[in-house]
Amino acid sequence: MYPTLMLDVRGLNHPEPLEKSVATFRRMDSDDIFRLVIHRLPQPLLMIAEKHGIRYRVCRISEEEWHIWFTKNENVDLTACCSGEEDV
Amino acid sequence: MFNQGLSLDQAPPFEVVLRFFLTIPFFGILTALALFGADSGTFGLWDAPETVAIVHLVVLGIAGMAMVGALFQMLPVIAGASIKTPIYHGRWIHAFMGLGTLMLTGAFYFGRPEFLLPALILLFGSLGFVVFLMFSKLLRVENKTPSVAGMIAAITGLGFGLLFALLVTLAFLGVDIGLLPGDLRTIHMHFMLFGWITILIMAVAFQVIEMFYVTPPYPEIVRKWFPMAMLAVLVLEVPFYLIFGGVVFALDAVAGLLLLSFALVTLKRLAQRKRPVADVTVWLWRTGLTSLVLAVVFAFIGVVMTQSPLFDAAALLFGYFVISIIFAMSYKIVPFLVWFHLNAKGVLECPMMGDIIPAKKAGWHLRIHWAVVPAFFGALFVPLMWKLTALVLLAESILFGVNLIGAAKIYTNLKDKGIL
Repeated sequence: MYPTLMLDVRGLNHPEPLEKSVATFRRMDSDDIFRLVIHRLPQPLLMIAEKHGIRYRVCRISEEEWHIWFTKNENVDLTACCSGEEDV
Repeated sequence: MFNQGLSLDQAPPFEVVLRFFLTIPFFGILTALALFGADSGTFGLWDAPETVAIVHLVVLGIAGMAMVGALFQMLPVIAGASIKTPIYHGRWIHAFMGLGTLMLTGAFYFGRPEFLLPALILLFGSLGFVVFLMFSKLLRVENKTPSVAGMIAAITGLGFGLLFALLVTLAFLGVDIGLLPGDLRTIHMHFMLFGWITILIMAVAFQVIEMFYVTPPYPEIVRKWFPMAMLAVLVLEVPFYLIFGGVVFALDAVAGLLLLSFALVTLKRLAQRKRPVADVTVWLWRTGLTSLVLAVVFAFIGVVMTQSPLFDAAALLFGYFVISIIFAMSYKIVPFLVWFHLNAKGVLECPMMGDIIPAKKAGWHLRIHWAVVPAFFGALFVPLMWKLTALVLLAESILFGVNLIGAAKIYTNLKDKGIL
């Protein structure tokens, strides 16, 4: 599966990763798949995504690299996103 | 799908946490006024009623409000343990703590012993319930991360601190507890300052230093063992007040080493940030931690050389450490919560986090906060300087209040404009 939107915020200081991610949420169309690469699990962001009706899947590559896939599309199957990676 | 049982509904309503944080500058202003009005000559005497009142304004009014507010926020979010009816509990605990602190400090400051009993009922009722509520929730958390374990240790420390507050009161009323009132007071202070406030700062630091400032994680030994070790040292000390005071001194030294190590390790972490942009909160952490290092060094030299002024300086630096960290946390947490709750409501006009409390205003607060240090060091030699210290403290409390109220206003004005 290929993302239509990508953001790598590894190493950015708080609150940049959250603000950039929420800005991307606002730009997302219903068909978009957004992949976020981040250095830690952003729990508040996931809570905001949930509230906005955005589905997500979290893949842990390592303790310092997490890939999170987001989509507003009900029909997109996110299960394939974490292939070869640890599905959290 | 990621799920640790965490959802937005579990996050405490912002009003609950904000209530506690907004009260901090109020008690800061009262502390400054009390300091200004007090007889400057009494400050070398830690048992003087006015000093006792001012210490309790800082510990209960400033630190206590910050710590209980932080616990309300951290318990569901970090520990995944939700509090039923948080608004109800937040309101009455806040009211009881606020009123109890006012009555307790009023009793000492104005010499009104009739305020003592209701003050103690209000404070034991509210803080005792906090211990019961938080402890019972935290013990049930399955994944006891170092932060959760630290919170458990801090709550236990608060429980002991309250118990010894009761025993101190009884001892001063003439009831034979088996320990000297002075020793009981020292034990009470140790549990409140090191067992509760410092351990909670450690637990929070383990979570936020790495998260907010993108630093390497704390060494495992520090995260896992420091809070428990600190609590164990304080508990172990108690019987030795009766048996052999030399052991108390040795255990105090161990506690000092734990504090010193925590401060140095955290300062090193801050120096290892991946993107070393130093905002006001980084400087406040550095300021607080440096004060803690100096406090431990001064206390050690003061005890070894029996130099009371050095010990007084250590006590003031420790208080300055606590207040610096509270400011650092407030300037991170309050804008974050405003931003988080507005975004969760789908408020499109939500400002950037850095615009909620402008860096320039926070920067002014930092400069005034730094001015407190020369003022109180000067006061150790020239007691009249306490008046100047009070004025600096007043200025920084007012500015802190203005900054927090500004953030709260942004939330209040925008909270109903969400699209969700």
